[in-house]
Amino acid sequence: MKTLIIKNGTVIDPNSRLNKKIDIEIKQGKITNMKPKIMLEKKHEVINAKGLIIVPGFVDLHVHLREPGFTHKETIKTGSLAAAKGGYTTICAMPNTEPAIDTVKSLMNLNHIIKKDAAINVLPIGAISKKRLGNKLTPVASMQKNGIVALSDDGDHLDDESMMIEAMKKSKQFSIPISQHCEEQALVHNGHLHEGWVSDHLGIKGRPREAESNMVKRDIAIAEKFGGHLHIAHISTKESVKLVEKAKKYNLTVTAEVTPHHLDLTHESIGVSNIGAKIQEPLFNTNMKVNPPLREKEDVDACIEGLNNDIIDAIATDHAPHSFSEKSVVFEKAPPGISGLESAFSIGMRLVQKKKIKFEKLIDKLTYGPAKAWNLNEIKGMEGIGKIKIGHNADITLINKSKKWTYSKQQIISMGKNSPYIDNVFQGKVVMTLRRGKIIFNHRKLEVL
Amino acid sequence: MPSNKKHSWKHKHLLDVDSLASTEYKSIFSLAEKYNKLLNNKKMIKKTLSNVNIFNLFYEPSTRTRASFELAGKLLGANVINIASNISATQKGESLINTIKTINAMHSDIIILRHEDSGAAYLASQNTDKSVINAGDGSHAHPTQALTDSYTLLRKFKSLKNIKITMVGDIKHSRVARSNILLLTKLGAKITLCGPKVLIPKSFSTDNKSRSKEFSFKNINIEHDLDKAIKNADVIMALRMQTERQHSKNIPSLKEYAKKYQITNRHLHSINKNCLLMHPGPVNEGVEISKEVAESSLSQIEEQVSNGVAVRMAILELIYLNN
Ligand SMILES: [Zn+2]
Repeated sequence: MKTLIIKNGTVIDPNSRLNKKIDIEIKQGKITNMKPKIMLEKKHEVINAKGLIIVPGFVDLHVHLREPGFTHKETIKTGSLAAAKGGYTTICAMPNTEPAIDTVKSLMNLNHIIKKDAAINVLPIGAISKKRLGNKLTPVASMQKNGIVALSDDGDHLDDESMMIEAMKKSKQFSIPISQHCEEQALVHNGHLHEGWVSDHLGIKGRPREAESNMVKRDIAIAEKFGGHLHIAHISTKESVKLVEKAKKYNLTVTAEVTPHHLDLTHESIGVSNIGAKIQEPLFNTNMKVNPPLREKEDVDACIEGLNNDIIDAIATDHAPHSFSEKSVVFEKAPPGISGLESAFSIGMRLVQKKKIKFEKLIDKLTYGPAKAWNLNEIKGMEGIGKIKIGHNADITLINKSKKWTYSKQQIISMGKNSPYIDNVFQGKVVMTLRRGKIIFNHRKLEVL
Repeated sequence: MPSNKKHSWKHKHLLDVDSLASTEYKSIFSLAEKYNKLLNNKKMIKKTLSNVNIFNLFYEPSTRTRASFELAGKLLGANVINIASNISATQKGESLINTIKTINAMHSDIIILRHEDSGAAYLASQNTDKSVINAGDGSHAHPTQALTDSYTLLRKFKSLKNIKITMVGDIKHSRVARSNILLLTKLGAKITLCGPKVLIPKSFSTDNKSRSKEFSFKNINIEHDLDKAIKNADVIMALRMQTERQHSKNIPSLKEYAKKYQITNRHLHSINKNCLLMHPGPVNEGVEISKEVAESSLSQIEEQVSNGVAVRMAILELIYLNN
């Protein structure tokens, strides 16, 4: 393997607070040198990053890769390639597969597929409960030994309080986060979008905001009493953000993530053909159907503020691919979920362009923020995740901040084309992704010096 | 009612009343009036839709809406094919889209769809190059009923500006209420919604601030007390209790509902002398309104039914001739 030099780019590394023109030398997949001017030699291979921003490979704490069991929606291979295109080098795979990742056996099988097919680091998450039924805990210790980085019954909330207490005790014992999909099942039963004027208008039962905040409150109370690490997945209401803020003030181990769509869209979008266009008639766009649902403007604002104040630790996509035919049904029958890996960064750039969030903050929430939230760097072999640091893996993403591009259906690598952003024009694009020093995504053939 | 010769229509489908321009619903009303006169006088009706194939695709049982569309189509000379839910392929698990695609391939010109899910007509319209008419989708919309109701009222009042209309009953699950609220407020009427709290969406009130400005309703208020709600009304619209859609536990039984919200003889004394009473049908007699009230001189129920044919003739013709 030749020595690789990334030249003339600006490096932003949130962990070390670096923001500077610096060249990077990569040998054997590791970063071996970083300094303002690395002299080129004949043996060097060079990436000219002039005008580009160099950041750590993105980290996603919440991705549904669907394999095994639902390979008509996505596979480890297609999902990890989609992630690479989105700038990700590390993603955490939710266990709501078939079978669910609830035993060492199913985990070993998953690890085997990952080893064979994954284009990037895919870190497995184990189910909290057997078959995700919410009534019997999974073997945490042995699953952790085999690589799970968190526990989650995502898709459903763990309603049973005594089970949640037991889960949090395990969390404390094994220092492993519990990623909770906070929506009380009894309250959201048969609901398909945010309970509010749009659900009233469309005549479809809503999912009330209290379904989320009630459970965030309950789970924080459990964390306070029993310890453990509670991670609020895809936070979406202003009340929940307030609750997490309070929990952090009390120094509880509570972390939170937010999705790009909850930072950008509201329930009103469900009645609009093109985002930003004036409402003509409700169009029941099933690609806007997601759980938790798209909320109100105040909630979007609270989530953005939460990111800025570090109440929310990470942006996570909740990438939830579905096949075209599954989404081509009436709104109430469509499965919830948005395919999000390839648009996340560019949606974030929209917030930057609207001056709602600083670029450096966006990068932090996509890289070191999530790594730190789950203490991924404390796991052996993962010390460099979310960082650009000498001695660590060269997992690196190159960004063109001003590049305009159209998010067209044909270009989506994920098998799930279920995005409300199809045909949107974005400004800001991931142009190259390197994993362990190897180019795994290249937007265009970059000039070689 | 003014009848202008040149009718305006620019929509391929009729999915809801939200998107209709005032010139469009005025065209419907004036054309309906023409057909109403011809029907009432047993005059010859020009077969403007001869060789047109209309598919009535009904996923929910319906007698009056289906028959109304069928008659409207036949009076204009169209071929009307009825596909009822019990014989449609849906029973065999065929998806709505596939059924629409099949009908699309069958030399169809207009597809009339009644479906139990909100938004079904929108989905259908996105999967065919034929015109789709929404004959009721879930709790969402029932544009032809709303157009019929407004037409019926316009024959009585000339203008609906500041006319006080009280809707009583299950607003929450009623597609008739939703479409009527949108159209009647466009026409300038003042609406009062009355019924049990659990059956009236809070966001329908003008006071409700959760709607963004451009979608806010004007001239709607909520009054849970029936006597107060109907006291000064020019029109009372009783809505059908949608028991098949009411799943929440705290919804009153029909008996409890009737006790508080049934329009009975007793109310006839306290309301405006010329107050009109409407009901989209089918009536649960002794629940929403009493038998006497249904048969009283105030009742517009039969008129709504006969006007419905003329309005649907107008809609079919406008859609077909302008596409
Ligand atoms: Zn979830």
